[in-house]
Amino acid sequence: MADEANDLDRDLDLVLARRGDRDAFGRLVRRHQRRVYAAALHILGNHSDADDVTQEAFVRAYRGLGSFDGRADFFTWLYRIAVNTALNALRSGKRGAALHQRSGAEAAHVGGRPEALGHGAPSPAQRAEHASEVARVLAAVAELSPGLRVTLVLATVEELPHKQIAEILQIPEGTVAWRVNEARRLLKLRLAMTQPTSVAR
Amino acid sequence: MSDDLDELDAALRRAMAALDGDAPAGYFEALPGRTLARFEDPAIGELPEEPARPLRAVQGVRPPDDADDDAEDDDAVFASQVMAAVELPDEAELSGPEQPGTLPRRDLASASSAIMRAVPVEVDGELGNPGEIRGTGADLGARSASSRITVLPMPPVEPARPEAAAEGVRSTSAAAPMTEVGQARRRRRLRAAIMGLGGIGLAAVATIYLTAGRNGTLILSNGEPAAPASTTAEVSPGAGSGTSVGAVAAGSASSTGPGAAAGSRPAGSDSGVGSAASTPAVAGSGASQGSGSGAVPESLGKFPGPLVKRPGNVKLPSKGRSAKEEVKLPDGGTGKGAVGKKLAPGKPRLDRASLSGDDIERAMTAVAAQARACFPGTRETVSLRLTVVPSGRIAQVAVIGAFAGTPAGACVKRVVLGATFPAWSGAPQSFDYSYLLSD
Repeated sequence: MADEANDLDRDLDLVLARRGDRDAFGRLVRRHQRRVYAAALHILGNHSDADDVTQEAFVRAYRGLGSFDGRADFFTWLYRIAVNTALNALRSGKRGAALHQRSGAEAAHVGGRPEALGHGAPSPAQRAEHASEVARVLAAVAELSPGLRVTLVLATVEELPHKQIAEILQIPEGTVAWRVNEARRLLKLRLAMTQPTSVAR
Repeated sequence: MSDDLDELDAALRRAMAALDGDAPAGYFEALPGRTLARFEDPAIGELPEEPARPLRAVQGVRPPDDADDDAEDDDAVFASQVMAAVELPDEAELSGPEQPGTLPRRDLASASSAIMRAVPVEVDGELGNPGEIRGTGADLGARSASSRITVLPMPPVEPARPEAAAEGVRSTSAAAPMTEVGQARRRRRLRAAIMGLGGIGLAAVATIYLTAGRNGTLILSNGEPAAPASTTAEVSPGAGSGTSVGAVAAGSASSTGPGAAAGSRPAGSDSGVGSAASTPAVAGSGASQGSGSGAVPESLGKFPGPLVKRPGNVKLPSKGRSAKEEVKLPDGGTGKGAVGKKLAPGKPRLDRASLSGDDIERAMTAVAAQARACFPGTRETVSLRLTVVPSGRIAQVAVIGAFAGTPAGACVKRVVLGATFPAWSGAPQSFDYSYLLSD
């Protein structure tokens, strides 16, 4: 019952937003912003770019509401706009280097957050190790091509099924599978190359 | 192996989870308000109907003086001036959201339409009395409505100069200015063609002689990338005699022209389709007629020597075959005849008064595959604005819209500079073209 009411609200907001009701569109933004932002953040690797892309995606969505025919789920449509906006930003070359440039200290900072380490108070050694791993993984991801990177993030981090990724990126499912495998292979290779050497005590 | 992947995925998720805290406190509370605030900008908040905005004084741009032999690249300069005079509405820079099955082309199309509506143009490429308006942009717009090509208007031709009449140039009809222009251009091109043949034709003949076996086969030799457009030797299948047509390029190479630009393409990106001269010997314009570039397979792009344009059912060497490949003539002729006769200098084909939509489509489609290769990934549309001069050479390519200034846009631009158009006798033409790029 509650779900039906939510669906009705959602549909109503969509209809109102299409008629130019900005408050209704604001509610749509509020409803979907976290997932849109998360996808942008995971693709681009930093808050500043993710924020730009998130806003840009919502602006584009607003401008394109008239052409949204309702055949697809609104979120899928919005998500696709967000992913493609992020992809364009990556490909423009202006962004995406952020992951590369994330300093070790910064990585240590984000990697050292207790919530990132799971339950329990981590020891300083654990925090350092985790920060190092985060930095290495982010650097390795940053070296992937935009197409591989986005596909890998959508499949592994966002955990979308290949079929949906194929719809979002408008590529065949087989290409999605290939990209995911290739991205994993390259990632593994690069992580192996940057494996920290253990010091015998 | 599976454990490795699981571990890899887990490491990736941990790293991304570490990123999740990047958002500052209160970010999500403020985001809707900030986003809605952007809608206060009228350019974003509304979907305005682009007004018909008048162009700056296109009429103030003088067409090139074709009688002036020293100004061979006036066409290109003129085209640049026209392009500079065309003022696009700002909205043309915006594109709509990508949506499955639709192309974000509306803004560009409407912007183009605004120009089309605003400017009086000559219809069908015919140039009538000086200053006479034969139609409006809406006419052309209606004709190109079903195509991806949006033809931009060109300025009217100036009146005939009195001195031209004094020189004995026939000027008996209302279309006299056009006749003079055409004749002068034809003369210039013929001279250029003959001069070009002196180098290109000689090299082509020599290579054909060297590579033609006595048993009537032509052997293509491998080597550095070259310009098929400007070195194509067209072999007549019926008579077995060779006539160099493709080599009749019109005009000289310009450092800003497509030849130079395409020649500087990075190694590996050349597939021989419409690429322009990369050697001084073939430094003519990359806009030879009848290059047949769309039909030339990628492997042939690596041949430096004269390429045999596929006449009818000639089998071309496929990928992976030997660098030395025998191509048999379709008529079973000896081929000796084909090379035994002296190559006659071809005449420039100026049977066109303007580029047709088909001409444009053909030339652009020939490089479409390469353009798509610039953007492996999602489905995107890249929009271009081109100016082509009557020699068939591209004077200017601009990537407009979302891909302007991006590496992908630059890649597409490089590729498109290699496109070849047939020559015509009219004024430079500008048009918009969009490629749908996808895997």
